[in-house]
Amino acid sequence: MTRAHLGLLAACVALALAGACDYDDAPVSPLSRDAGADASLPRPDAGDAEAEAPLRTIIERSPFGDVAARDNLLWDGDFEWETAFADSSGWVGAGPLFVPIGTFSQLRIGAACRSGMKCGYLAPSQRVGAIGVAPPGDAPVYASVWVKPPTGNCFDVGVVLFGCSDRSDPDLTLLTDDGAPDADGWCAFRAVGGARRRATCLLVEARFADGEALVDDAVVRAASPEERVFRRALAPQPVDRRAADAMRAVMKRVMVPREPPPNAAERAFEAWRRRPR
Amino acid sequence: MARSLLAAALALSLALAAAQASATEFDAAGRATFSAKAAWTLGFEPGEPALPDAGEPDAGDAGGPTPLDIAESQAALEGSHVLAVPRFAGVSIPLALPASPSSYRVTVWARGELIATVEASYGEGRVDEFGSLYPTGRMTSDGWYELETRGFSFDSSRAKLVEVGLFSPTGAEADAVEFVPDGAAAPSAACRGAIDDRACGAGRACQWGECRSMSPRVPRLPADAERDDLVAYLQGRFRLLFGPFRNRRLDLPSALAELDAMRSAADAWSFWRHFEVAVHRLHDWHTQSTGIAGFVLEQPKPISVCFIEGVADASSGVTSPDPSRLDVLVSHVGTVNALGLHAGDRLVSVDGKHPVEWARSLIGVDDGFWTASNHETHAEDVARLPGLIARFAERFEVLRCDAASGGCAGAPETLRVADIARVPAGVRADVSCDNRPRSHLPGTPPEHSRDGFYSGIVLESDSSEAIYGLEWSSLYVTGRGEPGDVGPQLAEAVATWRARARGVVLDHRSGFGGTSLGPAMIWDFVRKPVKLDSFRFRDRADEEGPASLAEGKALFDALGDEVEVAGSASARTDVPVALLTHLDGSASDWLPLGLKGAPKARIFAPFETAGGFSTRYQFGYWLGLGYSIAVGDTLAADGRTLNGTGVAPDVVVLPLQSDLLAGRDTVYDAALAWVRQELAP
Repeated sequence: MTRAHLGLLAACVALALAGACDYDDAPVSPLSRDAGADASLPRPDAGDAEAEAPLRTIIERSPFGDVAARDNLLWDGDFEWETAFADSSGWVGAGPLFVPIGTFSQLRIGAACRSGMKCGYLAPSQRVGAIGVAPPGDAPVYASVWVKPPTGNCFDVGVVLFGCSDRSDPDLTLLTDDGAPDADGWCAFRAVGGARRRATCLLVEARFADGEALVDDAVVRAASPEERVFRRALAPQPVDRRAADAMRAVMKRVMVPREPPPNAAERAFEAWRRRPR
Repeated sequence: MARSLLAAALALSLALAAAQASATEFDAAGRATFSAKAAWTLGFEPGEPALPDAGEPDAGDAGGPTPLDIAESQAALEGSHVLAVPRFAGVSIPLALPASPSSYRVTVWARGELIATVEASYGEGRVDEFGSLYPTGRMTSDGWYELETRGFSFDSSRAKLVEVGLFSPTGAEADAVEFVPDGAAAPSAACRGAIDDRACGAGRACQWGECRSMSPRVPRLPADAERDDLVAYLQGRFRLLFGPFRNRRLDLPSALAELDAMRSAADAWSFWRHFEVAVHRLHDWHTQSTGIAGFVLEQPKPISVCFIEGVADASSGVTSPDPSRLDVLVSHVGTVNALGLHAGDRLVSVDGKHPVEWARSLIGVDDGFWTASNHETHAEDVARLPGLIARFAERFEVLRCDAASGGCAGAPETLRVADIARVPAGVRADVSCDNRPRSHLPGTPPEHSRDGFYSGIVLESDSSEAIYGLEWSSLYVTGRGEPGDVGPQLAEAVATWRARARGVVLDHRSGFGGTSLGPAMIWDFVRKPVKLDSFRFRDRADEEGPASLAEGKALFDALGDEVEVAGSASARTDVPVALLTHLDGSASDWLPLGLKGAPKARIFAPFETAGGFSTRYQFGYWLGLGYSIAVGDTLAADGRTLNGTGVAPDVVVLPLQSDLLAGRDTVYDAALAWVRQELAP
């Protein structure tokens, strides 16, 4: 744990004493990750201690992702509509190995994800940002995202809500309850902050040395009246501020008029489709 | 509590839906077995009868077929082997099905991102029926997920080839391919075009004179418990995030109503077609539905005739069904299915309607529906007419004219799409519809081009008069030399003008946008710096734009360095520059915007540009279904928001039928004449 992490934890503890970090409920992913093993799947006899461990279990989820987040202000918080053929989309990658900046094609598919079919992944030192808008009126903002770090330590990723193009709205650090993931290794980050004026983005930064973190089911929306009572906005630590500034610089390059020709994935697909039959 | 109940209901609903839809079954150990009802299966096991000797994994241009990459894997879902699909490569797997009139549920299990289709060809080397596979929501703890299409139907008596196509943008594995009978096959049936859609029945549509199955091309109908959420979520994308203010006022309500209709859709095709049409109803140049059909299907009856709007002055006695619209004329032709038409001939009607009216009427069936953001012009509709006629029309009326006499026939001639020849696979229209009746630069291809870059002294001039020209369609300039970047060519052309040109004609009559850096290179040549505009990525969910010009101007004036400045101190304001526009959007809207008011620049066109002052973001659901959408708007220095209103020409020039017949290019000729009047010393 870095000094910055300790600082965050200390701040959270302090705020918790004032009720600020006392999360009454974790971000809800209503499309249950294990909405049941397949009803048609025979199960090993529970009483047979010698029964061989199954090769796999079958899981059922909505293939459309977390659509219960009807008013999600992010374009595609659940990654379900991300496509390798897009040159501009709802998520933007930055950091090592992202070439060119602006496209994000690091997707995982299937049961490893938190909800729906697709989720993103980050290698060490990478960042990904989700593009969205500010809530309507003077409504405070609610933001949440699930991240599964490879280390099992929620402090090994940073999550910041930030103004996509400038600092006219404050950056907010999202926190977990206690820095510990749930039983499946997922960390639920969340924050509630004040009203915002301008385009609002959510950043996830990998702060580990090995492995990959999964990112899924990001939501930014107007906070409900109940959530507003527990307004919690942690001022970002320097490490978060640096990450937000770096990502903001990327966003300013990406969120501009731009119609590039078809990308490599689309060109390859079209070439294959045009093969002689 | 309510939320918990909802989640439980949803889980139950999904489980029931899965039980009904599942084909592949699993034993207690989690090993997959094919359905006992399957008509065809492939597990990629050695010696399996269905296993082809060699598949066709290739990148299209990598040469001949290579063997399928099959390997033993402890992670195999079924049996012990899996198929690997390399990154950026495709695999096609031919198969033999019983000659029974059945439709099929087709499933494939995948690990990694996999685009899967199933296709039937009737012997011309083209795909005639296809389905796109989408996730069912079933997945395994070790990374497999199920892809499926329902109701895949084809005429088994005509099918020469049925195959599964697999492509991966990342590299993937596939296993357990399965075809399970899924009801009766849809009968093969001829039809007369979009006007005859009822002939095809539910879940089908008339295209190229045949009823085609549409249901297998879309995801499943969402379960009742999740449908409302899904519709509301999609409505949220439009309501909260669609950027252009004018189109929000004019078009968003009808788009949201179209989405509302998804709630009561009775079948998958109806459900998802409402979504597609809703995208169309946003009425924006950047906002289009996208899908896989354009990649999979090949035009069997390409028509190599390009149309352009103008004035039919050589045939004014023949009226169109809607005389309030511009006439539609033949601009230029190729050789494949040119139908004996020539420049100056006229397209009077399609299925009894004015050609533009007819094209607009296809909003509910044309998956490539494309429109200007403004509500006035129709260059996009007219450019697409050849393909639309072949795909959706039954008949159309043309008026043939004679170049030698300059006269036209006394009455239109009716042509039937059914009489147009089908061409061999691989043969495409051999002319590009670029809205240029003629080219005016050396080295341009006779078939015209919408993606070339041609510059030099125009054919009508010489080195002493020194009128230079540029014919091009892209303004994609990155400054980083990315693929498709025209920056270096544009920089070289501008440098030449600075050194030698006494006048310049910029022919951008097919302008497909690019980046802000593209127009800026030309603005720098024509004008001194001026504050022009500011592109505004959508900021707020409730943002509806400035309430008045004064408010907009105040906002603009407060933007500081977020304002785009057009022009440079080194501008050559003594050199006349004529810009020709016709079908122009996005950065190709910005180009004329920045030329407006420059001391020696004039815009020549028949009408305003598209008004697509935004940019697009793209979203795809497993490639089979997707959309691009405008994510912002632009504020002009005077406080106007610009998306939805194009840049009007300084000089309105309509192409004349008499000029086309005589081999003249009305708009270009007017521009050239003006440049000659204004030549720099």
